Amino acid sequence: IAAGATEVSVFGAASEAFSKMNINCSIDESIEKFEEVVKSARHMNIPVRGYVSCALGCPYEGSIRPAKVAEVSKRLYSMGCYEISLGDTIGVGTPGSMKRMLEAVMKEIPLSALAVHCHDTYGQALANILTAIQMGVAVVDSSVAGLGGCPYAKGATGNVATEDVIYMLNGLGINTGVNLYKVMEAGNFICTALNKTTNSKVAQASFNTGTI
Amino acid sequence: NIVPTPVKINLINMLSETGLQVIEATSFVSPKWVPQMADHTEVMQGINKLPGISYPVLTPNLKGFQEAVAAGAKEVSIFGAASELFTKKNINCSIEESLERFGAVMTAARAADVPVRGYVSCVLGCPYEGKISPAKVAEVSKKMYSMGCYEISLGDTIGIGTPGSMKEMLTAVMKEVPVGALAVHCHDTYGQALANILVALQMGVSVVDASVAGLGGCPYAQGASGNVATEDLVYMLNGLGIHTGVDLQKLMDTGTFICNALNRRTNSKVSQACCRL
Repeated sequence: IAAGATEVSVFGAASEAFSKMNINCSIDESIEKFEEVVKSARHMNIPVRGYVSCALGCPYEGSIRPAKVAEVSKRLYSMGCYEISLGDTIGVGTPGSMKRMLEAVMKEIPLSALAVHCHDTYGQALANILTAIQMGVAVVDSSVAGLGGCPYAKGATGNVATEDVIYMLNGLGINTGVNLYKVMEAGNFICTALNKTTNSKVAQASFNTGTI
Repeated sequence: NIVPTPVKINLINMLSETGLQVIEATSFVSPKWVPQMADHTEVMQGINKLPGISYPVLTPNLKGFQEAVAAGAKEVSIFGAASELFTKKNINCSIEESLERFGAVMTAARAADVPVRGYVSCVLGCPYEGKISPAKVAEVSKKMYSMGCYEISLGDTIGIGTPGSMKEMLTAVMKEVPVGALAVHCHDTYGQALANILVALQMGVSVVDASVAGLGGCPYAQGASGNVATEDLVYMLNGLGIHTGVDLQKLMDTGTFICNALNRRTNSKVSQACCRL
């Protein structure tokens, strides 16, 4: 707040083991801590977004029950989070598990308060996002150039690349208001600065055909 | 840099052990155009042909068909494009002329009782013409189907399609060709392949082409790279509860073999993820 933030995010996991490894406490304890954050935020009129990790699988627990995801989501939503972002933290999900998980969560939380946060570790992200969109989800998290992972989930790499998501949304006729070229420029900047190749196939393809 | 024949033969033999039922083995195209495929006869004769598995080969003309049959091929594929410019650049003639040539192949194939599969390239876009009309794709598909192809594989040759254009194109084609005779062949150049394949499955398509480790592209479409990786496709199908009969581990092992032989990284994310854990 002191630094000027006008929106904040809190996070929980649908997995006890992941919660323990990531922030060293149980799901219940983590939610208690967040209640304080959410209470203060409410006083200051600061919207709070809630993330649920391991929504489609956990690096430690393996399979995660949709009912558990729905339960944690509902607690965060009831506390006052305006939106719940469901994260496939290690990218193990497929359109099949995405559908089952969303069906369970949608029983507890209105669709308009849901978002998906898919990792592309197994190449399934766009197919999973498409499934979510088909079910009515209208908010999708992504990362320019597909940067980022999670240091606490071994083997986890790669948020889905914003460029690739935008490309798909454009093709679906969805108006994102996003300028794909500018996103690619931003991706180019950060990859140069980090000295690494982009994880975005759209950016790679555009580079190969000389569109950039 | 040409892949040695024994490596190709081993690759196909390994694929034969994974549960895949159709493995396109080689292409009887002129070595002048595609020198990498000059060993087509040797490959065809050298592979283990397991019962229950089909090993179709590409045959661009009657001469190629005759050589293929002589080499032991029991199924062949022909190909056309939904784009005049692409056809000109790829096989140096018009769409009409290419289909005429195939007429000769179809007649010979019928006489020899050899099933023929038809590929249509550039169904969602062309590297030279840009946009391709779904009606054109439907027209070319219908011609090839009427000529006697038992199946039409619709190829997004440069991977430019999205679920939107896939749906539009399939809707048009399905008016002319029964969905049971359709297949999709998606490239992952823009990362859209699995999403496009999902849409095709939702519309009733049940045959999907893929390439182990996501190898392969098209030398005539500049910038085109990367078939969709079979490993990533099977991972998705498994997650959808679709029984493929494919052993994902054996598939990944095959991908590892060929990538080592080619000294390159796999294009399969599933493979990359599994190696890390």
